[in-house]
Amino acid sequence: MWSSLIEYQQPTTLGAALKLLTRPSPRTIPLAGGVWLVARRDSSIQAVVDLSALGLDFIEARKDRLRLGAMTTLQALATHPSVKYLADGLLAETAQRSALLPIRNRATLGGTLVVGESTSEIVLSLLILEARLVIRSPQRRMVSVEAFLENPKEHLPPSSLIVEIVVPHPETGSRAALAEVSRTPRGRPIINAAALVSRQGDVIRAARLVLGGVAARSIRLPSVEAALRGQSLNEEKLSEAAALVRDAISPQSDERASAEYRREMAGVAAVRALRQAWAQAGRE
Amino acid sequence: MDILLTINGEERQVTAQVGETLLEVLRRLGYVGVKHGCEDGSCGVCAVLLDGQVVHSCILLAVRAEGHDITTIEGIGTYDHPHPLQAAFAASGAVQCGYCTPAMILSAKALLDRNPHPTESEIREALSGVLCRCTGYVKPVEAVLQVAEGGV
Repeated sequence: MWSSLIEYQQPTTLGAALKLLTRPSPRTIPLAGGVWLVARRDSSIQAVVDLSALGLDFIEARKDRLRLGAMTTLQALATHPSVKYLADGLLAETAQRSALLPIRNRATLGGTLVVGESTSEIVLSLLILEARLVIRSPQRRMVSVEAFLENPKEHLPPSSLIVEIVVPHPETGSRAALAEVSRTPRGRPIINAAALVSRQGDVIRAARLVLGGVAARSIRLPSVEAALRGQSLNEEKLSEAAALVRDAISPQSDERASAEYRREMAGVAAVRALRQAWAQAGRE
Repeated sequence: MDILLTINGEERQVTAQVGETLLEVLRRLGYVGVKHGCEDGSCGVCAVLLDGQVVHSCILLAVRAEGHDITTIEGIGTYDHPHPLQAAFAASGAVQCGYCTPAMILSAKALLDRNPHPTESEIREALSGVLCRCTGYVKPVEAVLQVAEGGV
């Protein structure tokens, strides 16, 4: 039981939800899927605002982008036909890998972003696809997922809500790949990497590279991306890329893995993802 | 607070505290086939179906289940008229200590209700939300496959 909880509200308008979140007391927080919050049973929280009646669980395919409501569940993302076609199914696949089925049936896209686990596969894919968040406070602002992950407290103050995630289609012909290092096939990865590569003949036109497990949140590696531009990805270049990755990061040791292991595996995962994305982009 | 829960097709008026989880409320009402395990959504033995989808009841506030259909193991069959999955699990040795069994069976039911002919890989994926320390998952997967292939 979450003993400190004394109040539950399920508003039907965004305005009402935001109003509840603005009041100074009792301590009130938004409740999305609840899989993370209810497990923690934070005793400083006294009231929750259930976001499930705000109509934020939509998936809308537009010509050049996907609009995803913040309350869309990971399972909806993993199975919806419109999502399966984006970036060769990267979004759908990462949604499926991010959590096991009973969690996916409740966990939401917005909630997963706020929890911001560094190795969350869905967060990695949103980062690599340069998704943008629509935040209401009630003023409407848009912020890139990258900027949000760098400073979540600044972009999402306590009385604001992520309402939508906009995912632009990646460049035609670009291909994405995910690589993970974990102890068990479905366990939380220690390190993961995603790469998005577009080719012009035998060289990289543009590459994007993201890593999980080497910082507090998922990160992009612009310095490595820049070095890859115009390169042909043979094994020698991939080796150089691994070295660049290792130099670009400052992982910490924890009970799951040492900093040295994380650094080494970051290079390995990045290369696997790049190699696969490069090969797939070349088959077009 | 007073909430109206629909459990195995039956409406029940329940008084629950705001912070009570569905697991606690269900067990309090006598649905003890819903097992108490980790309390944080990692073991899966508390699994119930919410509108046909498998969820962890230990991390779901009971009040949020109002207006949805809750299915527990008690609702899918009886000792005299077991659900095919219950019969298959019992007959095939897929039950050892039995603690994860209700959750496994409900997870399998959720799968078969939307995909009557799953592959072994799909069955494993469907059961992956439930930890089992006894069986190594071999016989539970076989039991589900058997039911899917109409063998029970």
